[in-house]
Amino acid sequence: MAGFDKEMWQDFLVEVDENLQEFEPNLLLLEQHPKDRGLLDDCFRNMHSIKGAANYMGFKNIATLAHKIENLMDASRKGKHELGQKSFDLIFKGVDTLRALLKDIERNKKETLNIDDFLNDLQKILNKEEKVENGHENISSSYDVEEEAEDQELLNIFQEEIESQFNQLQMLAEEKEISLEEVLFCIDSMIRITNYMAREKSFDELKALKNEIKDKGLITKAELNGVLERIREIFKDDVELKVNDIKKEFVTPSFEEDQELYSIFLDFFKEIGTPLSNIPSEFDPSWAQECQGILERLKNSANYMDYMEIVNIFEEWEEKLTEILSNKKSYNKEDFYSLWNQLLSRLPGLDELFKKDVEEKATKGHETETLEINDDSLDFFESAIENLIDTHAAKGLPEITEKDEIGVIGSVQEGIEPLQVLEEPYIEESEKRQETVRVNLSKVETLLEDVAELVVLRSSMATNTKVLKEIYSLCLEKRLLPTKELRKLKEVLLGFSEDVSGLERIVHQLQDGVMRIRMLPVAHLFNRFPRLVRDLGRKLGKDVELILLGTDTALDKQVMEKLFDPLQHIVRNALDHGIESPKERARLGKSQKGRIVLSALQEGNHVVIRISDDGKGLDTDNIINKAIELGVISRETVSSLTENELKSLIFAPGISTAGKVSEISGRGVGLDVVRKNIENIGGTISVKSSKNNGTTISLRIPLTLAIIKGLVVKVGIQSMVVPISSIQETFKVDESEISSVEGYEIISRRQETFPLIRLNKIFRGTGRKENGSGFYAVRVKLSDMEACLGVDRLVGQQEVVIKPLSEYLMDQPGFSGATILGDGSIALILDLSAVLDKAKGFIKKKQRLLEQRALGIDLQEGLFVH
Amino acid sequence: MSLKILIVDDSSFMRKRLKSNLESQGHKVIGMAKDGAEGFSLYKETSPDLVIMDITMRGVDGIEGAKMIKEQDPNAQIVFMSLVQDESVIKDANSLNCLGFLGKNDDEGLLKIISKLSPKE
Repeated sequence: MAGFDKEMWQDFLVEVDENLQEFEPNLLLLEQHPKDRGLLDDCFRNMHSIKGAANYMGFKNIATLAHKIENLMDASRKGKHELGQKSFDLIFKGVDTLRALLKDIERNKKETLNIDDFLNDLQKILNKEEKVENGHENISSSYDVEEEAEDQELLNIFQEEIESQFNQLQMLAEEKEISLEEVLFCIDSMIRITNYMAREKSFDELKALKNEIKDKGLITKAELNGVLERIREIFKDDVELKVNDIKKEFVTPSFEEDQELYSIFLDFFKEIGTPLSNIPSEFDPSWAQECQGILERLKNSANYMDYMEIVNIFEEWEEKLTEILSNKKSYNKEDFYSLWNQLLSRLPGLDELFKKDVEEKATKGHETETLEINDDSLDFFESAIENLIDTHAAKGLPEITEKDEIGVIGSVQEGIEPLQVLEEPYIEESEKRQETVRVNLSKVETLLEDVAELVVLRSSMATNTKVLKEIYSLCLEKRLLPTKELRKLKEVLLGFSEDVSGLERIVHQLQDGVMRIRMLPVAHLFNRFPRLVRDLGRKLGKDVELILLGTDTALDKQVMEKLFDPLQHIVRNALDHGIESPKERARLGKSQKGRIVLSALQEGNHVVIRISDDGKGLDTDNIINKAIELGVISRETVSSLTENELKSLIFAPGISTAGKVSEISGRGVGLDVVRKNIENIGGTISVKSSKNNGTTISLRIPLTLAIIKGLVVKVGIQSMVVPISSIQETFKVDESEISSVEGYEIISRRQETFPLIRLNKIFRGTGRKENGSGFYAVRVKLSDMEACLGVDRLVGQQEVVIKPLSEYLMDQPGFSGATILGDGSIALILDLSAVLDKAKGFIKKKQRLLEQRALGIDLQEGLFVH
Repeated sequence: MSLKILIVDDSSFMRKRLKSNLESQGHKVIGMAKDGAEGFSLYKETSPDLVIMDITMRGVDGIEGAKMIKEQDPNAQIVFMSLVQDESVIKDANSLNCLGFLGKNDDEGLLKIISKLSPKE
């Protein structure tokens, strides 16, 4: 097809992206309602469009992948396929794969990734999950054999499938009690794919075989081995079936654990299990004892993971060892090799870790050696895990029930009413389909800067008008002009000031309008969460429903980008620590399905984002204890704090909402960072919680980062802007109110003491201050740090448009940007976190002392030298 | 010979590509629609010499759209361009007395069909 045309590529990206953005949320909904025809249609269409565009571009992998998913959707629409957990897992993975393919092409200008394995998986599921009762006639008609290449691919799939079923049968033969049902299931699968491949002879023979054993009720090991032999015969032309070649992907279905647990187990095995692979040719009692110790530990861990089959193998091993040690039986190394092989076949990834060792050891005898994992084995390991998870994760998870009615949950829902909107939020979104234009963000930025200049010009005109008015008054007073001239001047002046106020209005609207261009509905942010919640919920075995409210609330794109991480953190917390396990919820009389609500609401110049869960609420006692332990508060202070103040302690560093640390959250680095991030964009964070009714965390975020409300102050001749959101109070200071401790200056104020940061000292070159005695203090608070900034003069409150500093100034800490004031002069905007950092050492050291002092416990009065 | 062409396709990518292809051959794309219904109303408005119709679209699909156009104007010239391979859909499409059923990337096929057409009055 066409070469790599950059413009076409951009169009293509947009097309695929738009479709995926529609597809993913719809797929999440479809997972809840797998039979919904409308959703199926939509999903089908998205993949169809992607396929079309990819075909046009000549991206074969993308086209094939989309085609396969499209087929799944289509088969499902026609009732030929039922979308189960496994299908959804694969499709979600498909979406990720599509994105990966796009990135790959972006980087390499062509498709370089090999996704054949994944495509095979998809094809397999298409063949496998079809409804059996439809009979074999209409199955083959639904698949279009498109290209020659696909024939070969089909053949591969066929062979793999037969092999896999064959191996499954072999594994069944290993078991103590053989389930006829499972045997028949394997044979049925073979029959289906044989039919699909139109291997008539094999098909008939298999059916005959099935009929023979079907009515038996029981099947012995010997009989099953006979069956295996016949199957080998049946397929001898198509597939070479090896006896005992049990592939790692066909792992016993007892693994329902997730990746983490499994890899922890495997790591543990790797760490201590080496002697197990070093099976000696002659019996060695010290080896046996070593093994016993290891087996005991491994068994405990496997037991904990619920890997019962593995536990059985360990037990058998132990038994054999005991028998030999007590001289009941003689040592036969083959027994142990066989056990070892069983372990290898049941624990994917293990053989790669040990293979080399075993081979080497077989000749060298045993000596301890550390294991190293090379990249290949890691890759393999990952894919083995993927197989494991994909194949078996569906089992053992709570079934997803029909959505239960949406009610209002306790106090959590405060202020949020339109819950009924939420049934199908995505559909509503996508049906709106507004016409849009894509504009480069930098163009909007430029426009915004121009508007800012306009604001400055307007201010300067306003100032000039004032001067003119003064001149007029002067003329009037001193009769400097004849009445006629004076009237003329007055008229001009009136007209002029009218124009200025008109201009002010327009400029304001213009500014507002440009700001709005930069704003996007929070849906852009929120829509990333359903998938996250789904995946995490499955990982944790919790059934959680995510509700999005107020998704069309507009928010600055820049703000939104900075919000994702904190939000993700909070949502993860809610899922991991807030929502209880389905069992626990049932016990408490809650619906088994947990609920997390993400809502956005505009309040003036702010957007309030709330994350509520209906989980167990915060454990206040635990938090208090932890806070005391960490010295955040003292035991004496506790009683003086309000309930909400206590809850806010979760934002202090080191305190976790979790009882225990888990992979997902709870390491105690967390909410303090979240708070810092939120405060860095001028927002505030608060928490409400009640026991067993859930937790709500509210974020109050400024609509935009481009404009802030600030207090303009003068330091020497330099104007600076302090963000209003952090200011607690301002007051005039007399030099006599300042004391100093260990070289730090402090100000006492209403029984509290604050460090004083004189801005003219930390920023040099501000010039001498204008007048002699006294200066002003601006008390600011950021996170848990409070300090007074010493400035020479307070000028006034103002909305300022932030201009980023030039690059060479960026690495100068202390300023987050600059702005142009009404008189055309430049003011620097203070980056409070950097400024407060300068006094941090002092603040930290003195924090406890100050607290005690505030409480009247003046134990260390001596430190405060005046 | 320059034709007035209406493109009905739900994929903006395909619309854009078709448009630039057709325009580079001197034809005029007088309208583009995202679904059958929009296509139908644009047809009435613009009365094109040829309609290029996708099949899978949100809302009114290509088959329905073509039916509506044909009812309004039995002489309408419509060609389907779609990757749909469903027999029954293809049968439906062929029963509508249209110019043909092409794959999405079948530029040559489209060219051939166009070369046989001439503008309306």
